[in-house]
Amino acid sequence: MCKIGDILLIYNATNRRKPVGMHPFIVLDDVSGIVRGMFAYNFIGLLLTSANTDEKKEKLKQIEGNFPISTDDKIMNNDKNKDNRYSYVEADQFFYFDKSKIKYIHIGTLNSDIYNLIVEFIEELSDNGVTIKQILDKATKIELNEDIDI
Amino acid sequence: MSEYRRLNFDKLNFSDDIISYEEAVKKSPVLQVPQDAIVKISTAEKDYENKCVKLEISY
Repeated sequence: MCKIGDILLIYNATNRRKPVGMHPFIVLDDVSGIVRGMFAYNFIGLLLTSANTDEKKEKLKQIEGNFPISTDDKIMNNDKNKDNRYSYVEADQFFYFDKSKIKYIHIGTLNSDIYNLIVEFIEELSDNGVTIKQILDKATKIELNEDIDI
Repeated sequence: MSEYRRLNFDKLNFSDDIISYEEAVKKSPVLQVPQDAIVKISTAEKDYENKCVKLEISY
Protein backbone atom coordinates (compact mmCIF):
# COMPACT_ATOMS: atom_id res chain seq x y z
CA MET A 1 0.00 0.00 0.00
CA CYS A 2 2.09 2.85 -1.30
CA LYS A 3 0.35 4.67 -4.08
CA ILE A 4 -0.14 8.28 -5.11
CA GLY A 5 -2.04 10.24 -2.45
CA ASP A 6 -1.36 7.79 0.38
CA ILE A 7 -0.26 9.19 3.72
CA LEU A 8 2.56 7.12 5.21
CA LEU A 9 4.24 7.34 8.55
CA ILE A 10 7.94 6.74 8.08
CA TYR A 11 8.78 4.85 11.20
CA ASN A 12 11.92 5.21 13.30
CA ALA A 13 14.03 6.64 10.51
CA THR A 14 17.66 7.22 11.28
CA ASN A 15 20.13 9.51 9.69
CA ARG A 16 23.84 8.91 10.21
CA ARG A 17 22.84 6.40 12.91
CA LYS A 18 20.87 9.01 14.88
CA PRO A 19 17.10 8.52 15.20
CA VAL A 20 15.11 11.40 13.75
CA GLY A 21 11.68 10.18 14.87
CA MET A 22 8.52 9.40 12.93
CA HIS A 23 7.27 11.76 10.27
CA PRO A 24 4.20 11.60 8.01
CA PHE A 25 4.63 11.87 4.24
CA ILE A 26 2.28 12.11 1.28
CA VAL A 27 3.19 9.84 -1.64
CA LEU A 28 3.81 12.21 -4.57
CA ASP A 29 4.88 9.52 -7.02
CA ASP A 30 4.90 5.73 -6.84
CA VAL A 31 6.98 4.86 -9.89
CA SER A 32 10.47 3.40 -9.44
CA GLY A 33 13.38 5.26 -10.95
CA ILE A 34 16.94 6.49 -10.70
CA VAL A 35 17.69 10.09 -9.79
CA ARG A 36 20.93 11.98 -10.49
CA GLY A 37 22.06 8.85 -12.30
CA MET A 38 23.01 7.04 -9.11
CA PHE A 39 20.17 6.85 -6.54
CA ALA A 40 17.51 4.17 -6.96
CA TYR A 41 14.10 4.82 -5.41
CA ASN A 42 10.60 3.42 -5.60
CA PHE A 43 8.53 6.30 -4.31
CA ILE A 44 8.80 10.04 -3.71
CA GLY A 45 7.29 11.63 -0.60
CA LEU A 46 6.39 15.11 0.57
CA LEU A 47 6.81 15.91 4.26
CA LEU A 48 3.70 16.87 6.23
CA THR A 49 4.39 19.35 9.02
CA SER A 50 1.65 19.85 11.56
CA ALA A 51 0.68 23.34 12.67
CA ASN A 52 -0.54 22.76 16.20
CA THR A 53 -0.58 26.41 17.29
CA ASP A 54 -1.78 29.60 15.59
CA GLU A 55 1.75 30.97 15.84
CA LYS A 56 3.20 27.97 14.05
CA LYS A 57 0.40 28.06 11.44
CA GLU A 58 1.23 31.70 10.70
CA LYS A 59 4.96 30.93 10.48
CA LEU A 60 4.45 27.97 8.13
CA LYS A 61 2.06 30.02 5.98
CA GLN A 62 4.84 32.52 5.21
CA ILE A 63 7.09 29.87 3.62
CA GLU A 64 6.77 29.99 -0.16
CA GLY A 65 6.98 26.23 -0.74
CA ASN A 66 4.33 25.28 1.85
CA PHE A 67 0.81 24.21 0.91
CA PRO A 68 -1.93 24.08 3.60
CA ILE A 69 -3.74 20.83 4.36
CA SER A 70 -6.82 20.99 6.56
CA THR A 71 -8.05 18.11 8.68
CA ASP A 72 -10.94 17.55 6.22
CA ASP A 73 -8.50 17.01 3.33
CA LYS A 74 -7.17 13.82 4.90
CA ILE A 75 -9.03 10.54 5.17
CA MET A 76 -7.41 8.78 8.10
CA ASN A 77 -7.65 5.00 8.50
CA ASN A 78 -9.19 4.78 11.91
CA ASP A 79 -11.01 7.41 13.94
CA LYS A 80 -9.56 6.12 17.17
CA ASN A 81 -5.98 6.18 15.97
CA LYS A 82 -5.86 9.27 13.84
CA ASP A 83 -3.47 12.08 14.56
CA ASN A 84 -5.18 14.47 12.20
CA ARG A 85 -4.05 18.03 12.68
CA TYR A 86 -4.05 21.07 10.42
CA SER A 87 -0.76 20.85 8.59
CA TYR A 88 1.37 22.05 5.73
CA VAL A 89 3.01 20.01 3.02
CA GLU A 90 6.52 21.11 2.11
CA ALA A 91 6.02 21.00 -1.64
CA ASP A 92 9.49 22.20 -2.68
CA GLN A 93 11.34 19.28 -1.05
CA PHE A 94 11.15 15.83 -2.64
CA PHE A 95 12.17 12.88 -0.47
CA TYR A 96 13.28 9.85 -2.49
CA PHE A 97 12.69 6.54 -0.71
CA ASP A 98 13.72 2.97 -1.30
CA LYS A 99 11.08 0.94 0.57
CA SER A 100 13.63 -1.72 1.51
CA LYS A 101 15.58 0.87 3.53
CA ILE A 102 12.72 2.16 5.68
CA LYS A 103 9.88 0.99 7.89
CA TYR A 104 6.57 2.65 7.29
CA ILE A 105 2.89 2.29 7.95
CA HIS A 106 -0.08 3.50 5.97
CA ILE A 107 -2.14 5.91 8.06
CA GLY A 108 -4.50 7.49 5.54
CA THR A 109 -5.13 9.03 2.16
CA LEU A 110 -5.21 12.57 0.87
CA ASN A 111 -8.34 13.77 -0.95
CA SER A 112 -7.55 13.56 -4.69
CA ASP A 113 -8.81 17.12 -5.37
CA ILE A 114 -6.35 18.47 -2.81
CA TYR A 115 -3.57 16.23 -4.14
CA ASN A 116 -4.16 17.64 -7.63
CA LEU A 117 -3.98 21.19 -6.24
CA ILE A 118 -0.57 20.31 -4.74
CA VAL A 119 0.60 19.10 -8.17
CA GLU A 120 -0.53 22.41 -9.71
CA PHE A 121 1.15 24.30 -6.85
CA ILE A 122 4.47 22.52 -7.48
CA GLU A 123 4.27 23.34 -11.19
CA GLU A 124 3.51 26.99 -10.36
CA LEU A 125 6.48 27.09 -7.97
CA SER A 126 8.70 25.86 -10.75
CA ASP A 127 7.22 28.39 -13.22
CA ASN A 128 8.11 31.10 -10.67
CA GLY A 129 11.74 29.99 -10.61
CA VAL A 130 11.68 28.02 -7.36
CA THR A 131 14.08 25.09 -7.43
CA ILE A 132 13.05 21.76 -5.92
CA LYS A 133 15.36 20.28 -3.29
CA GLN A 134 16.04 16.55 -3.45
CA ILE A 135 16.64 14.50 -0.29
CA LEU A 136 18.37 11.30 -1.26
CA ASP A 137 19.53 9.72 2.03
CA LYS A 138 16.77 7.11 1.96
CA ALA A 139 17.29 6.12 -1.67
CA THR A 140 19.83 3.44 -2.51
CA LYS A 141 23.12 4.64 -3.92
CA ILE A 142 24.10 2.55 -6.90
CA GLU A 143 27.66 1.36 -6.60
CA LEU A 144 29.56 1.69 -9.85
CA ASN A 145 31.65 -1.25 -11.02
CA GLU A 146 35.23 0.02 -11.18
CA ASP A 147 36.50 -3.10 -12.95
CA ILE A 148 34.92 -2.26 -16.29
CA ASP A 149 37.44 -2.60 -19.14
CA ILE A 150 37.40 0.26 -21.61
CA MET B 1 -13.41 13.15 -5.89
CA SER B 2 -11.43 13.36 -9.13
CA GLU B 3 -8.64 11.04 -10.26
CA TYR B 4 -5.11 11.58 -8.99
CA ARG B 5 -3.10 13.53 -11.56
CA ARG B 6 0.58 12.67 -12.09
CA LEU B 7 3.16 15.42 -11.76
CA ASN B 8 5.23 16.12 -14.87
CA PHE B 9 8.74 16.01 -13.47
CA ASP B 10 10.28 17.22 -16.76
CA LYS B 11 8.79 20.68 -16.16
CA LEU B 12 10.56 21.19 -12.82
CA ASN B 13 13.84 22.84 -11.90
CA PHE B 14 15.89 20.94 -9.35
CA SER B 15 18.46 22.40 -6.99
CA ASP B 16 22.04 21.08 -7.01
CA ASP B 17 22.29 21.50 -3.22
CA ILE B 18 22.67 18.38 -1.11
CA ILE B 19 20.42 18.37 1.96
CA SER B 20 20.41 15.56 4.51
CA TYR B 21 17.21 13.86 5.69
CA GLU B 22 17.97 15.01 9.23
CA GLU B 23 18.28 18.62 8.11
CA ALA B 24 15.12 18.44 5.99
CA VAL B 25 12.87 17.09 8.78
CA LYS B 26 14.32 18.98 11.75
CA LYS B 27 11.68 21.75 11.72
CA SER B 28 8.82 19.26 11.53
CA PRO B 29 7.53 17.90 14.87
CA VAL B 30 7.83 14.17 15.38
CA LEU B 31 4.50 12.34 15.16
CA GLN B 32 3.51 10.27 18.19
CA VAL B 33 1.62 7.02 17.76
CA PRO B 34 -0.77 6.52 20.70
CA GLN B 35 -0.15 3.57 23.01
CA ASP B 36 -3.54 2.05 22.18
CA ALA B 37 -3.10 2.30 18.41
CA ILE B 38 -4.40 -0.74 16.54
CA VAL B 39 -1.81 -1.94 14.04
CA LYS B 40 -3.11 -4.25 11.29
CA ILE B 41 -1.06 -6.50 9.01
CA SER B 42 -2.47 -6.03 5.49
CA THR B 43 -0.19 -8.33 3.49
CA ALA B 44 2.89 -10.50 4.00
CA GLU B 45 5.38 -11.04 1.20
CA LYS B 46 8.45 -13.32 1.11
CA ASP B 47 11.63 -11.56 0.02
CA TYR B 48 14.09 -14.32 -0.91
CA GLU B 49 16.85 -11.89 -1.95
CA ASN B 50 17.00 -10.18 1.45
CA LYS B 51 15.99 -13.30 3.37
CA CYS B 52 13.07 -11.68 5.13
CA VAL B 53 9.29 -11.41 5.13
CA LYS B 54 7.95 -7.96 4.32
CA LEU B 55 4.83 -7.04 6.26
CA GLU B 56 2.50 -4.32 5.12
CA ILE B 57 0.92 -2.74 8.16
CA SER B 58 -1.47 0.12 8.74
CA TYR B 59 -3.00 1.77 11.78
